[in-house]
Amino acid sequence: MDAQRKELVDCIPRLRRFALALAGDQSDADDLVQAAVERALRRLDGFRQDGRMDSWLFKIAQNLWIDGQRARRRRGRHVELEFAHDLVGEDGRRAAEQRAAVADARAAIARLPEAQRLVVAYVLVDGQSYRDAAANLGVPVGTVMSRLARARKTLEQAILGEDGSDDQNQR
Amino acid sequence: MTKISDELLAAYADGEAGMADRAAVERALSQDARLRRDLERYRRLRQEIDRSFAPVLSAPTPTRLRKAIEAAAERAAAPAASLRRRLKRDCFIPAALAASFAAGLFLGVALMRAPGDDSRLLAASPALAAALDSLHDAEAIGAVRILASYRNSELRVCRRFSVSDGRLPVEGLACFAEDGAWRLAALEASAPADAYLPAGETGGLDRLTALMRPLPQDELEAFLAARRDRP
Repeated sequence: MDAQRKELVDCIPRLRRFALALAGDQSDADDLVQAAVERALRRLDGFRQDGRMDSWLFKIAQNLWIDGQRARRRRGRHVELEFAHDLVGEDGRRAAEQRAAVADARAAIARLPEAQRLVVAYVLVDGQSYRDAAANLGVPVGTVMSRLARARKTLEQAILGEDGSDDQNQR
Repeated sequence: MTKISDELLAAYADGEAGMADRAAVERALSQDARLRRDLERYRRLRQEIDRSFAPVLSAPTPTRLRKAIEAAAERAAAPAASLRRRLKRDCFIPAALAASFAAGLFLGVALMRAPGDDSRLLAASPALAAALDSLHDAEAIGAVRILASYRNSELRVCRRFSVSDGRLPVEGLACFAEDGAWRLAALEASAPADAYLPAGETGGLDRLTALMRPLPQDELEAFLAARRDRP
């Protein structure tokens, strides 16, 4: 039991990083970590001995975050970027991004639609395999790959700036 | 030339592509400058993300979070919740508690009235407070026995006790708070044979005290002396 708790505490730096990718803000991220750890501690006895503590903990955080996002939507506090995206259209969004200063990776990830943000948090931020990310999210590996591909385009635009056209970039 | 999808290129960069795909990507890369740039951009993106998130990984856990986690550990270890459920369900239990010692009823009532309230004061529970204030480990007054003493992460003295009248043995942990009163950190039925306790709600005290440092004998003596000599 105590070994499990130590394992749990050892996961906290990684969990904070993961939560930061989801929440976009350190204080919100730590609230999420706290809620996840509290829930995990309450259910520690239900944790399978042969299971992986990190996956279990990340999944708890993931579910709490998804629930929180749903609650936020219900309160109508902000428009999900997914919808904004649909409204503005690809060209408008691109133009807006080109105008914006090259954004910090964290801010750019925080603007991704939820489903993409989760994949990015697992794969690009925490460095998990596609298979582990897919298992945690309960989706096929192919879905992880396609979400990652979409997220990657958006993030590259936002963080690295517009890719030069073929001619300009080739000397 | 095979068209390499964005998915496949990322999988290649992430070390997730199978052998055949890897060969196909490498063949395409050797011929396609655009694809090489895509790969380079993806690698730069990963570097940027690593760089952006690296500080939080090496940062110490903030005090606020650490404290909250410790508190959660204490709450998780406090099966007071399960006991409260039993108290609500089964009226005989508060009576049994009351019978066990004068303070028992007070304890039971306080728990029922303030579920989830962390400030469960024991000051009004004189029999238990007296035992916590004066007994050495393994000593008993009436139904109250002190089992062991600890120092928690906030360096407060905590004492594990049992209350037993042969009907509903209870064990608890009380910590001496800053305001000079004992607070109940955890309370659990000490697993009587007839008790139904949902799995996962026993043994919490063991988990809780395992996190604490046993109180050395001389520190216990000093603490008891201070309590004895208090104005």
